[in-house]
Formats: sequence, structure tokens, C-alpha cells
Amino acid sequence: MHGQDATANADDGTLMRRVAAGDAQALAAIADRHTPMLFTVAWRMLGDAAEAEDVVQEAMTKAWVKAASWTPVGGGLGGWLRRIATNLCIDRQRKRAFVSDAEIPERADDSPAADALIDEARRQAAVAAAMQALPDRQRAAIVLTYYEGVSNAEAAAVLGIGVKALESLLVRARQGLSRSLVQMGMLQEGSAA
Amino acid sequence: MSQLDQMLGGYTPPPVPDGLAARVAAGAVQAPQDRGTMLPWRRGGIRGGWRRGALIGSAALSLAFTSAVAAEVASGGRIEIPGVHQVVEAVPILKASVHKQKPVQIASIERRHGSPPPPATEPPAPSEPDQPVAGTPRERFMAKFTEVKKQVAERRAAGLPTPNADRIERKAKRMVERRQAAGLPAPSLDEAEMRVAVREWVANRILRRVANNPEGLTDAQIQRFVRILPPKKRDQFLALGPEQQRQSMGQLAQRVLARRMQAQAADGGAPPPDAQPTEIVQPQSEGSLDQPR
Repeated sequence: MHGQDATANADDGTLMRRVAAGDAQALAAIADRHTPMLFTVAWRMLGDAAEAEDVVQEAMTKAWVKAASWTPVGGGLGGWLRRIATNLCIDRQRKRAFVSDAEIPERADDSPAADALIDEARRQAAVAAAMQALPDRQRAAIVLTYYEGVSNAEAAAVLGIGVKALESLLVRARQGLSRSLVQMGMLQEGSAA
Repeated sequence: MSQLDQMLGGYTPPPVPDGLAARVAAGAVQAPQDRGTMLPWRRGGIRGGWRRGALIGSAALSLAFTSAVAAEVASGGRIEIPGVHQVVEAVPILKASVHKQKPVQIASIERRHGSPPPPATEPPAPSEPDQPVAGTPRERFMAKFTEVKKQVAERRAAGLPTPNADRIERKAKRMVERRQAAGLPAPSLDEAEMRVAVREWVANRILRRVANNPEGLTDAQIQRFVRILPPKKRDQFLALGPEQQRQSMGQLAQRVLARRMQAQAADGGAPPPDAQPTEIVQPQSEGSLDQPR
């Protein structure tokens, strides 16, 4: 019992060293700590709970396999896992068929149905559709900076681009979201800024 | 906060499925772990790791080989790398590139740097394959002269006329007899024939050059021409201006050439032996008239 508490309270660096030594319990502690964040990122990127679970699974497997090569720099373990998950999501999106933002398709997911009469549900479905219509990197930039609260520098590092390029991505992402939501009648033109 | 931000704020994910963390942790530990942080090409345990070394090695070898081929091709065959040279010789396109020589350009560059002129094109010697390849211009000319003599002998054996060869033989014979009569050391008949042939060839070459490009004549060449003129003609020639002198020399050369061509056409015999060596001997200057005495 005492050992389990010690594991749960250990910092990420200690846990990763134990993971590198093949300690499955340490990995379980890391999974407990970071799975919600990873699931949220993946869900916002992919818009699908099942796929988000797969991404979490893959990210955690990579953490286990590559534990020996991990070094505590940058955003720490959380940043490293977030980067893995983001890249996995982008890879998955690229494997999907190209979806033009000219026509926003109705999507079937775990969020409330688009035809529901509840305004909140309709708004969430519209935002989800608009998010899915964004290009991969623009969506990743929004998810990381807006929802995950990651700094621009860290988000730029996750995406492998410069800060200026990230800012440009964010501007274009917001413009894309506004355009989609205006087309769906969820947003009035000119009220996005 | 803008309306867009408000809408984005409402985009909340569903709750994390129960037991997801435990499931992913249990699934992850099934995979084999990487060992250590060694450099990728030092990792022995990685699947396919051995291929990386082989790939890098073969890429380096390919680069070295293509560089060697490029060096040989770019040098026009002057650099011969063992092994690579055989491959270059085996590929027609590369071989053609290597053997594409620019003799005039190279000669001019080397002459500018004071080095000896490059060896001229080797004469083919199908009749005498065992004969060693001659090095000096004289030796090369000797080889070609021997070949031409053989052709002349074949024509004579076949009953064909050889007017130029006959004329050169007559001249050579006269020269030898003259020297013997004067009590001077005389060359052999073959040697004398070769000297006459060379002299005629050089003279023809200069005549062709003067006829084609009289403006290219140098002052030294004009002075040399003045010396061989009879006194009366010399005075007339010296009275002309420089441009007129050159034009006069060009016209004279054209007339002489035309006369010789007419004479050859009238004879209708074998090609003049003195015309053959034009591809072989490369005199160093216009003063070559004095060289092969």
C-alpha cells in the first residue's frame, strides 16, 4: 500500500526511470496521471472517442518502448506525451480521405445529435464539425494553445515549426472556424473577432 | 471575449472512459522496450538495424564510384582510375565523353605555359601491327611515310599510276646524286624521299593557310617570303602596303594551289603522298619549312 502511494506521488522523472527499467507499475501511474489530458487532446483533434482511445493507447505504448531515450526537457513528460499524441492524431487525419471545407459534412459522433433541439448541443456539434474541417496543423494549433493552454513556443515545438509560423497558423485556424460557423448559421458574419 | 471564443469554449470533450488508464497501461507493457540511448546505427537489438549500416556503406561506395567516374569523364580521359576506367570504357556514352578531345584548345593552353605540344593523333598501322608506336613527330611521320610507301607499292603492283610518288622519287634521286657529285655526305634514297615529302607537305599546308586567311599572316612570315623573291619581284612587293602585301601573298598561294590541283587532276593518279601526313605532323609554327631537312 505504501509502495503504491509512493509510486503515485513520485515525479514524472522518477517514474520514467522506473519505466525504462521495465516497471509496469510506474507506467500505470503515468497513465493515471496523463491519460485524461491525452484523451482530451486526441478527442479534440479527431472528434471521435474510439479513435481518441486508440491514440492514447499508442502514445502510452510509445512511452513504454522509448522510455530509455526520454530526457526531462522542454514541457516535461506531459509535453512529450502531448507531442506524441498530436503527431499520432495528425498521422491519422492524413490517412483519412481529404475533406474539403467547402461543404461541412454532418458527423456522427458521441456529441449530442446535430438535429437536437437543444441549442447547446447544436452549437457543440457545429463547433466539432468546424474543427474537423480545419487542416490538421491548424486544428492542432488551436487544440494545443486554446484548449490545452500550452504556450506558443511549446506548441510550435510540438508541431516542429517556428513561433511566427504557429501564430500564422492560429490566425488562419480562427478565420477557418469563423467561416465554417458563419456558413452553418451559427455565427454572424463579422462577429468572430 | 468574442463570439467565436464563446463557441469554442463550449466544445467540451466527453468524460474519459472508465478504466482507460489501466487498459492502456496494461496494453503498453506488452510491447518490447528499447534498450539504452545508443546512436541508431549502434543499436544491435533493433529490428532491421543491420540494414542501416549496409545502406550507409553502399551509399558511400556509390558516391565514391560516381565521383571517380565523373572525374575521369570530366578530365577527358587524362585521369585514369583503375577499375573505374574499365567501367567507363565499357559504357559507350561515358567512353565517348572521355575520348572527346579538344586538341587545339589543349595545345594552345600548354604552349602558353611553355610545355611541349601534345602528341598528335596516332596514325593507324594496320599493315604493321608489331611496329612500336612512335613518339616524336619525326618518328610518327616515318611510320606514316612507310605506310604510304607500301600503298604506293601496292598501286604500282596493280598497274595503277602513282605520279606524285614518281615525282618525289625523282626529286629525291636528283638530290642524292647532286650531293654525291659534290662530294658531300648524302642521305639514303628513302631518307631523301621523306625529306622531300615533308617539305612539300609543309609548303602545301602554308599555301593553304595563306590562301584561306591572308590577313592572318604575320610580319615575320612576310619578311621570310620577301627573302625568297627574285630581286625585281622583291622591289615590286616591297612597294606595296601591308594589306596589299598580304592580299598579294594570298592570291599567289591560291594560284599555286590551283595549278597543283589542275596538275593532279590531269595526272589522275594516286593521291599525292605529301597530302597524307596532314593529319599526323603538327608543326609548331609557320617556320616549319626549315625543320625536317
